Amino acid sequence: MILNKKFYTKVSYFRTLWNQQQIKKLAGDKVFKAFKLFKTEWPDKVYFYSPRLKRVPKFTGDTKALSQWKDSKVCETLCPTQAIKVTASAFIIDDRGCIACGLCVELAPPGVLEMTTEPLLLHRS
Amino acid sequence: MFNWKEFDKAKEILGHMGGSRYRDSWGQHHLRVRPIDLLDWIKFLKEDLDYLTMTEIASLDHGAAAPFRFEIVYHLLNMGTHQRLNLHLIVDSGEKIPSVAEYYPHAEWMEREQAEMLDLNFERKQAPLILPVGQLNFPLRKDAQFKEWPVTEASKLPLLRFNPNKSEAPYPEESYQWKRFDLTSPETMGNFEWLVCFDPVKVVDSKVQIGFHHQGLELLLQNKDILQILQLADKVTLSAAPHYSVAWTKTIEDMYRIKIPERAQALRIVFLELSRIADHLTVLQSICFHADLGEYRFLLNAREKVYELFEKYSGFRHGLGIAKIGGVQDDLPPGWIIEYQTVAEVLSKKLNLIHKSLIGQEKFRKLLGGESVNAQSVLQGGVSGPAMRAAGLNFDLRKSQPFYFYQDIDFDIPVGIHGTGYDRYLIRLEEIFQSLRIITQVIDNLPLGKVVDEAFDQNYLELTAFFKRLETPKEWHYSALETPSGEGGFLVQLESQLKPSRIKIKTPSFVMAEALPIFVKGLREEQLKICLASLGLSRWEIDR
Repeated sequence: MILNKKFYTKVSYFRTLWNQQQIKKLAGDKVFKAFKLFKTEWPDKVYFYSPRLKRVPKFTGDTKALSQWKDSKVCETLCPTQAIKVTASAFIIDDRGCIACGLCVELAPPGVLEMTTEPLLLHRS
Repeated sequence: MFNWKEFDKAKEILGHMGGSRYRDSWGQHHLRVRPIDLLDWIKFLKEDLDYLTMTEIASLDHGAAAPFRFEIVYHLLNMGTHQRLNLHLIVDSGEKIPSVAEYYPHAEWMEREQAEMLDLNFERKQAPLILPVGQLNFPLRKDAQFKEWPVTEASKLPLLRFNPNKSEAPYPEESYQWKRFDLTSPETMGNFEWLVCFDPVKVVDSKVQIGFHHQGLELLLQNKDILQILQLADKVTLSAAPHYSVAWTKTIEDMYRIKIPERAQALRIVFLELSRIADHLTVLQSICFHADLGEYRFLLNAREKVYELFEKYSGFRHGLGIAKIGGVQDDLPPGWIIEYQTVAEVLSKKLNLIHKSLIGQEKFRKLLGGESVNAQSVLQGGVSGPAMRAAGLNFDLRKSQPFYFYQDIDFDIPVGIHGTGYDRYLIRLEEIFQSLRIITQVIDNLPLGKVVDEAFDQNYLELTAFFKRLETPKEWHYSALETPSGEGGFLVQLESQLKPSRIKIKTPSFVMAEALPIFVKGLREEQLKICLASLGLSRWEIDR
């Protein structure tokens, strides 16, 4: 526990004026400028670190591999938001429901599902 | 620290009193009680055994075929020894249940919530809290139908449910005025409807009406698996996402007695504290924003640097998708630690500058000040977190019930004196520095090894097969963390190995909204929104 009276400090009038001048200089500081960069360059250039979950799962179109996969129907009940529908020739993921948790990609054999960098298409039926 | 000697002493007493109805598991007492004896037990527990607060009430429907239909759990906390007690009440349908609000005044909203979710018959009958008036359907019952939503009377939702008539208003003086603040008014910040009584200048009393943001999260989670809930548990609030996902994994790991590797424990601590920093920065920012001070921009940008750290680890900005049963999702990416060190250096330097410029301004001090809040009234309100510590109560779950490595780490807990908004601001600021201190200590001594236990590094189907080999835990289990604005966690009972039969989410903001009249008393009108901002309420935590 910290002694509680330590917090109640006083700052003089001129000191606060000086501090406010210093804070105005922070606007030119590189460290605090990153916010604007984020919005303009979304999503390809900024996320250089982790390609894992900034991506959305997508069906590669390999129907052979899909037909050989026994547990493909499990994905419909496995998905926590029920965004997946599986037919004989297609693996449909509803972008509005997908929260990119990655459970389906973990389960799938290689070549069926991929994590893509395509941005979400909200109006896809 | 958890006191096992005291636990044994209480166990003897309770075992003697309760006989075969007493059981203990994982440092928590379980006691079964009949509704006739409930008030006697609670009086005994509060006055003789020092169970001063109650954290949560949860209830469960066993179905029509069971001999006793409903089971209610009162979750009590001992403030001296930090032990927890589950008081189980077994009730038939239609049976009268005595109200606990005499001994724990903040239990009133919890009782009302349970009554309207399961059609329970509490003695103190009041208007529904969250759902519309005159409803015939009770969502958490087993026989609930979700095709229609039958309501007997005309729905009164758009109108205010209590009217400031003379009969309802307790102050008949002419000079007193009742003012109503909408969902859309800046005073409530979109949280609830608010009726405030002024003696024309200062606040005398206030009433809060919630129930506008229906997530239905508890009902939604009950139909999912344990492993699916893990992906949804961090959506309780965005501001404290890692806290709720870690709380969920911790309850499951406690119930099945799973031990996670040391490196995973250390990484969990790192991300919990990072999200605490991010949440405190948002609260400080909103205080500055509503006080019309330009510093809020710098606080926002500082928070942005913390979100970048989350993004470089998991790909999500708010810290989603970090925890996993048996460990954490990934190891730290290369270069992450150096990034953190630069952010920590910048934060610790520039936050001091911002703090000193804020303190020096008279406007800031005047807006945050007010009448002091009594520690006892805060305890009666059941409030936890920085709002409670500002009033002078020394209680933090990281110190009182340390989990993972918290007992080996060197850190302090700031405590205020007056309990005003100014104290709350100071405590949030100091906690940022303290959690920076925690993270640097953990990262300096980061243990080597695997991030996930080998048994749990599998896909969904293999994990379900693994869990089906285990025994199902029988009792309710509650485990909580210190989230940024107070105590939050899950109270869970399992039906089978993977399916839960009931999940109750404990959130700090729900209790804080009930206790608002304590914090608001004596403030002027322009101070109201700043008081709300300093409490750090989140609307997703308030509603169900």
